[in-house]
Amino acid sequence: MVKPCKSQWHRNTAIFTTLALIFFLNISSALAQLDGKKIYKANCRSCHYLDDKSSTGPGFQGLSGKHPDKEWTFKWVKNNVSFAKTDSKAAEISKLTTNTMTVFEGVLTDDEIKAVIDYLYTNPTEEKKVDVAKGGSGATTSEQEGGINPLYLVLVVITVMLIIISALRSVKRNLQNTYNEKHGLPPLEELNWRQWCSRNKRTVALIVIVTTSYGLQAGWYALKDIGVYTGYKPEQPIKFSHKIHAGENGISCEYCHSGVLKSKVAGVPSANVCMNCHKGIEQGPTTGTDEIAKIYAATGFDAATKTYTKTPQPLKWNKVHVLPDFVYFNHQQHVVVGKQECKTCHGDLTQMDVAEQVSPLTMGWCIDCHRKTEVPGMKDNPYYEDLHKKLAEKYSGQKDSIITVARMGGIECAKCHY
Amino acid sequence: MKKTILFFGSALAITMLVASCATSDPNSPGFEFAPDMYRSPSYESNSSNGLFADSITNRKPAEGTIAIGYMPYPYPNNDSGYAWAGRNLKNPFAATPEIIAEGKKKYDIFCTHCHGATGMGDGKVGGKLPGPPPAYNAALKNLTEGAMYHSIHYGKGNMGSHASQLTAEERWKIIRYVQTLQNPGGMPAPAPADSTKKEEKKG
Repeated sequence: MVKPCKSQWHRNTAIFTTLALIFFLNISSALAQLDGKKIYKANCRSCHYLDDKSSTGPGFQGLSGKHPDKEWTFKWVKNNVSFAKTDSKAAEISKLTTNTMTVFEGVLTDDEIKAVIDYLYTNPTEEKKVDVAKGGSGATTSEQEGGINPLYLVLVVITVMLIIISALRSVKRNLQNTYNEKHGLPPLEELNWRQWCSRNKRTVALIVIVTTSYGLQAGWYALKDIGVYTGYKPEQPIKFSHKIHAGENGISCEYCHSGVLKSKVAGVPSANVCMNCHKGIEQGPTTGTDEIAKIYAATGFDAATKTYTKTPQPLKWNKVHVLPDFVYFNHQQHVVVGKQECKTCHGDLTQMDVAEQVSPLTMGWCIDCHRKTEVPGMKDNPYYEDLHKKLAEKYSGQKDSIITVARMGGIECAKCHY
Repeated sequence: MKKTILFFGSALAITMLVASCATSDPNSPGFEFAPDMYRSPSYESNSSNGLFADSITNRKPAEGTIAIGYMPYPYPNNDSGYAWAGRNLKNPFAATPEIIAEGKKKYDIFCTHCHGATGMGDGKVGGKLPGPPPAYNAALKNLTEGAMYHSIHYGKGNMGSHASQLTAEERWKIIRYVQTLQNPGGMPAPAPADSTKKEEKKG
């Protein structure tokens, strides 16, 4: 049996002191931990994970077992280059890789290095990332909404009704014939389709008028759409989503299509541009690792070793915006001098999972815009000074004095067709 | 009479057929009037090319050739190259407000999504990387301009090489802007524009 404390007061004090001690110890250790964690995140995490996965440098799991001497680790972190010259173990480690670690002397103070080492020797684990993108937006794509065209539904209903009507009619006919046979009456006459037509002229006329006008209308639209690819939205070899990249992550269009300011073509980025981010990001919010693995295959990247050791397999993207070969179009001209935004012609890609052609890209569409649009880059350009002055004089008296592309010769045939 | 009916009937059928061809299949661009005039027989940039085993039209320059106006980058992609470039490479552009503004424009396009708008490493993509990039005004406060150039050229850590997206001039302008982020209080230590070096780069 435990001997009770001599007095109530004594016992209370003991409990209180113990609790206070535990409390303060916790707080102080929590503070130290917080500090080290912060430093780790700001300075080390770019290259070292907390688990055993290698990034640019090795993971930190089991660090306290590998290098039990904190003093040694401190020297290594502070200046691994000079340390490797004096210490044999450090020299050995620095030979393992061609990437030398950053020297933290002058970047972090001694206390900060000690704090981060203390933190790392507590064997911390990776925090589970909360995947915002998965739970929030982007769970459904516009593609999957789809549904059935109501017109088809009406057609199906009409067909089913016609079948039922004809079936009922033939049943009625058979019954009538059986009745007639029993009562010695002549059977119903068999009409061929010509006789039927000549007896039902109104119905025939109606059917002919309806089908002809539908055919003409459909044909008219079909003819109008020849060579116009609005709505073209081909499936791509990788389920790349502009909505995630340009929309949710806010990556500028020019980051990937970097030719847009320098060249005739904006360019489909080569897979090395994908790898600028996807070397580190191995998992996407909607497709997991499947689609990103295709980039790795395209570049010959080995995700396990983080090296380019396999044979690259070029990606075959489907070109969405195709201009005819007989027309010249230059992106640089439109974006740099014309100061046009990408979405003026390409639509709001930040909302598209699959890139779609939204503008018709017909000649009429080009010319419409050329008739309405000014060229903002021309005003301040000394090269066009003379021309701009002349044109400004020429059109100053008119009701509409804007110097549009058309007024500068932007609708001359040879401007685009040569 | 029969012939007329046949004619109109078949005309109608053909129209309907054409109409049905133009149904909105997102994978098909639709009916093309003159494909031989639309599609170029010559190889366009990014088009596939049967003449090469890897089917890529955009070829790399032949090994050992140097394009006009382009200076090969002499520092190797290793630590000594990094240190060497960090010590030797100097920005040909002075830290004028115009250059910094131009650098900012490019920075906003090419860097913000990882390094963050103010260089704190808090960009949206940076947060998704296994480790976000370090802040310019903290861990990278003392990073030299040569080291920055080297990192843009070859990439560093989780950052990939941006050599295919940025020209030498653009990189130096960005670096001028990044230096203002390293010292958010004031302008960076103004380095005088070295005209001879600039010539060298261009030549």
